[in-house]
Amino acid sequence: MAVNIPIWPGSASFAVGDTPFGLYDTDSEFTSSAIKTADWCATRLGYPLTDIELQSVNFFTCFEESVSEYGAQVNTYNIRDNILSLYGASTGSNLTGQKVSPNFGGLIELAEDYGAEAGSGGNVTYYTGSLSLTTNQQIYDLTDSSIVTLESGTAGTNEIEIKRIFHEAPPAIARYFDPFIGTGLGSQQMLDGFSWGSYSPGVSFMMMPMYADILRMQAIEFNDEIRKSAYSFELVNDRLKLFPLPNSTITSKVFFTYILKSERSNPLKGATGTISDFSNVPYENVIYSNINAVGKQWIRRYALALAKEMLGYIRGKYSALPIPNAEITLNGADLISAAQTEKEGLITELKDTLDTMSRQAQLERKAAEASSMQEQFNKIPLKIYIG
Amino acid sequence: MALFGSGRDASLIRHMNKELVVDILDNEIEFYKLELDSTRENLYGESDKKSYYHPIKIPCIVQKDEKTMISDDFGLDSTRTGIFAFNKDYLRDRTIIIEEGDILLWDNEFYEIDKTAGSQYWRGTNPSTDLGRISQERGEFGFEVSIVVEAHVTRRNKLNLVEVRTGGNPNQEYQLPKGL
Repeated sequence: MAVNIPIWPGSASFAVGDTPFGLYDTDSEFTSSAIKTADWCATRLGYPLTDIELQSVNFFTCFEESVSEYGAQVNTYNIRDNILSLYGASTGSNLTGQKVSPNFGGLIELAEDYGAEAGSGGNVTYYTGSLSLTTNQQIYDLTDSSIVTLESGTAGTNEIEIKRIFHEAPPAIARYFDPFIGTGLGSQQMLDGFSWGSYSPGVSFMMMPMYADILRMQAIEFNDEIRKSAYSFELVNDRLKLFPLPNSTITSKVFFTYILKSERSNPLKGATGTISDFSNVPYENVIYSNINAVGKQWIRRYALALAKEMLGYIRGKYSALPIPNAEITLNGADLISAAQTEKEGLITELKDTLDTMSRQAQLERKAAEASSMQEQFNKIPLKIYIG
Repeated sequence: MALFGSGRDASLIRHMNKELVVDILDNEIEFYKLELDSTRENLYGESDKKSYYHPIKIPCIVQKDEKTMISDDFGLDSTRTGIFAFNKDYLRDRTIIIEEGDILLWDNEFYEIDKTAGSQYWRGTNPSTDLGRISQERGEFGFEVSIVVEAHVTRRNKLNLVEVRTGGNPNQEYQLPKGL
């Protein structure tokens, strides 16, 4: 008995499992639409005037793929439009059909690197370290673990980057000489007794104009810089050079803040199990019954293009087919060519439509609308009030 | 193990052939099968009064050649040949066997079959005689496409199928065969 593979008989019935992936088989609206779409596609391809060498499962396969393609395009658009707001969110919740509220999460995360470098936040920890000074030694090696103490890591082992060195002269205001009290630093001692030592003497502010205080502080700072070896330092590579030459009366330690380079270079700063890229944004397959009429029409047209392509491949598998005493060539190539053009057109159409709905496009349209509206309003004659 | 030309593919071609020959072209001839039991023959196995079974309609692809005029000692005569290609599946399904001596009626001409050939195989394999299939080493491969018949136009008065020496009914365009 010769093999006889049945072809499209003119009608179809759907059962769960008739599609390859079974993504929508339990959606009653999908199953009824699958039957109708199969019938429609077969008719559009020429049935009943010509045989259609496809079976109902072929049409159902095209229909399922079409729904999935539609969902993939919509989801891709959603991911692209929302990715900055989705970075770091949980991967556990299905976002399909959900309205995603924009937020600054992703944007701030992008800016955190800058914050870390500027010392104004960021995602790299600033640690504290100290350097033990030796009298009359001006140059220090920061990789020497015997003199450098680090909050995290070990000097000379872990690469660090110094962010700030606390080697500064006492504020000029703290060395203020009150001309009215006339006892020099004695007034400072008095203010210290009232816990006002960090502030300018109250009496000075009471009795002297502000510019006099500022000029006096500048004089103190200029004096330090020009006449004395002011507090400063040079940090080149691992060597720290301090000014003035340390002595026991100045200080015994210099403190600094630093970061571990390994922490800055670590790309995995976020929590695990969160949205990290395009591939794990939790958009699932669309629910067919929730798709509107516009989408369903696109799906039908795409299913037809797929069915046409499939029929083209079937009819074109052999370049020539034998008939009694002759050979014929079928229209496989034409079907494939037409189907591919239709598919590309449909994808482009859908992408263009989605692109016009992006946040950026909507804002641009709103701006254009406002501009046009303003232009219209400008043409309205203004009333002139005389009174 | 052949890779191309399986029974699944042959099924597609079978559908195509059926659609083309039966549904699309639908070019039918009448086939008169020689009834040997009712045909008397002479000493030499010849018969001038042959009997035929009732004709049946069979769709086929016809290649009708041009008429050729012959002039010899007996006078002027004409002849014509034609090639009739039948769908093998169609014949097999209806148990029709076409042989030399059978008569075909097409385009108001009777053709006597001179030669039958059934060697048009798709992928070069006849599934009925394929050794691999017979020995069940593999499934169906290949496809027997057609029976191609070569025939020549024969004189209808020799066939005893239609009245040729009497006037017919002018209102009847088609004369039913006789001598069936």
